[in-house]
Amino acid sequence: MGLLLLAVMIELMLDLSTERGGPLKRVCAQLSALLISSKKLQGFCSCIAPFGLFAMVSLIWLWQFPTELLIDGAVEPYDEYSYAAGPMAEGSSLFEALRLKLSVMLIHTENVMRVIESAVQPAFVVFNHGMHWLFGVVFADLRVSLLVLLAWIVIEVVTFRALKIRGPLLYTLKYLFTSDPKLTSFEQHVFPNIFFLLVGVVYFSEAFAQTEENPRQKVWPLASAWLSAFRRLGVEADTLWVDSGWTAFRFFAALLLIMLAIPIGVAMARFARIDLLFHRFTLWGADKVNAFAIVILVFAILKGGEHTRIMLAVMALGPSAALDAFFRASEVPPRLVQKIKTFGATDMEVAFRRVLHLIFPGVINTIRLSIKSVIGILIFSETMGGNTGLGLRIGLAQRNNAIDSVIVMNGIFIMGLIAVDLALGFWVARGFRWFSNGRKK
Amino acid sequence: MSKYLIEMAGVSKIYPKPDGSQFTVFRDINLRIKQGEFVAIIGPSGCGKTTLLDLSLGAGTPSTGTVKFEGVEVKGLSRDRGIIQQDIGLFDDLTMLDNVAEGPLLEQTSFPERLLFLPSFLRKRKAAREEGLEYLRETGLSAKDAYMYPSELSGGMKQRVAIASAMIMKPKSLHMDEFSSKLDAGVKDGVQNFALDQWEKTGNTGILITHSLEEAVYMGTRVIALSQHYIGNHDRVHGSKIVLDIAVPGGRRKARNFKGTKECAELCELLRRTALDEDHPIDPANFVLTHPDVVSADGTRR
Repeated sequence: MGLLLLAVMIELMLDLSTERGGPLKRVCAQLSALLISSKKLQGFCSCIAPFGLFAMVSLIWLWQFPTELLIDGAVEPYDEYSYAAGPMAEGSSLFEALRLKLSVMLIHTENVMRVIESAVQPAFVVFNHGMHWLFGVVFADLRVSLLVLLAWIVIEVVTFRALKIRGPLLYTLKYLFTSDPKLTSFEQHVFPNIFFLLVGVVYFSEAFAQTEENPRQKVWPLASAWLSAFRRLGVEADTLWVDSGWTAFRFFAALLLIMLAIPIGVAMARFARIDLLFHRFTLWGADKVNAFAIVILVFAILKGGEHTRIMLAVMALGPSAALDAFFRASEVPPRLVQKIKTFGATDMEVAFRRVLHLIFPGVINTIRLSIKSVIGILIFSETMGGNTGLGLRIGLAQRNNAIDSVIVMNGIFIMGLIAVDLALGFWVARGFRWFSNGRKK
Repeated sequence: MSKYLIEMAGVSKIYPKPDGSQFTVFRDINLRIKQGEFVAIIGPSGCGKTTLLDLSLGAGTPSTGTVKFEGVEVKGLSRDRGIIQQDIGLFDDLTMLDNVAEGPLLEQTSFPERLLFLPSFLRKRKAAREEGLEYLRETGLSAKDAYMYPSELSGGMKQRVAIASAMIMKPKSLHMDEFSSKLDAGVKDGVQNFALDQWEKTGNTGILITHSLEEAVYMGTRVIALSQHYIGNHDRVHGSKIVLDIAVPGGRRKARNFKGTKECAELCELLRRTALDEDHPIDPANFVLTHPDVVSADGTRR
């Protein structure tokens, strides 16, 4: 069964790394062409089938394991027991057995991961030794690392040109569900990944060296260790979701208030009195005061309540968003404003029905670029005061040197930021199609 | 009610310069335009054509004199005076259909209504779009193209839509600022004829600023030349004056081949000699002011 799982993983690697995909994908493509008329659906089915098979084989593989083992987490990587086919799960009926097994798998995810790790033990051993050699010998020296990276690019060029085969590391999620990605040059898949690889090489070579020196230093944890930290924080301590929820609440409340800065910026550009009221304060006051530098001050003045943390996050980006909206609204050609006025529009209608709509996607993109600063100040302010929030937990974990927990919580931040960025990007692309079209030109 | 739609009496435009002196764009402009006329204004660069158009539109205020529209002094922009601009002037964030329907929609709905009475707003938007679609059909745009954005269509098509977006408001006067100057020759003819068709259909008044003498003669029922190059205007201290004001023969709508005729060429040559020949400034005594509505500086009819 382990070998079957390994075969499916090789198939997946082939699907992701070669022009035509693995044999299974090609068979699926032929079958779907016979059964389905829609080209898009054919492509989707042929791509999704190997993943489906992988999931199915994984489930069957896990099914063999005794439930207690999953609960106790007795299965360790390289544990010879993992090769033995265990008895079927206990239960009065098949449905009951399935329910029990799935619920155990959901609760003890990290043990499931250990089982998978042990299932692919041969590959894992090779991988581990390979990593040891790579990070312990090759990438230990940064100069050698750069040379290897250069060699990889050369190999990419040669293989792409000569064999039309893509490097296995180079697929991004974008191409995962596309049957015909139409990559026309090696640059398209080499260039976007170079810096990711550079950062990866630098981090992992250092992390590996530290882990070799002190195994308790979890700067290079395995997936099961990450999941273990995740369970410790999210399932057993039950704080991860509460903290994530509070941080998300503060973040979205701040984002909402930052959005309100956009119409203020437009009003500054269109109405002289509003400009007088806000301009100097925004430009020379709020925008120039670094929220990080006044955290203590703000906490002391505002008594450190919930609103303090939210206002600090708003301060990080709100004034800049208002000024960006102001500058963009000021640049709307006067002739366009004249035209809208010849339709009988009032000044309010000019500002909020036309100008605001014209500049909105541009300002949203600015917010997307700077949203990291909102998260930064939020983490900082949560660390400074209060008893909830991921920022607070990160501070505590760092104090206790719980690197695996920090990685998990940072992972949540990164995933959250990617999700917010994707959502805002999707909003701009779909809600403001004219803006995306204009930029493409 | 005044006999004239637009009346300018003793209009001057003077800008202060950074050194404290003044720059006179034009001085003592007296102009009367009747309902239904198509007035083309030509002149060398910097003579103040666009400034004059802005004053008639209400987009600026004269330094001296008065500008009246239907006998009432112009105090600002109004839905009675439409504009078609050189740089297309469509809203990039609206589809072609919404660009045309935006005017009626703005007129019929208020900002609070959009926020608070959505069903009523949507009903009115549907009606405005249906009306807009009627106008778009006349531009030659297909129903599919109506849902495209300005960045997705050609310059000629965009300018037709810009004309339609102004015409849908049924303005009493339509002010066109070099509206075909950025278009290719072939496209330009089509857009000119489309504008003339619309003008002929509605019977409103047209004011056209152009650098093309041929376009002025072909489209205008009356041509006015503004120039700063006349004898006695050293260092441009007096600003520009109307050096030519003539009625163009051929009626409201000339034959399509008018541009190639001898008559057109002769008129163009007259315009060039009078208004555009910078090397030979014209004597004020020789200004060609033969249109029946030409008025003298003191406001009396010639």
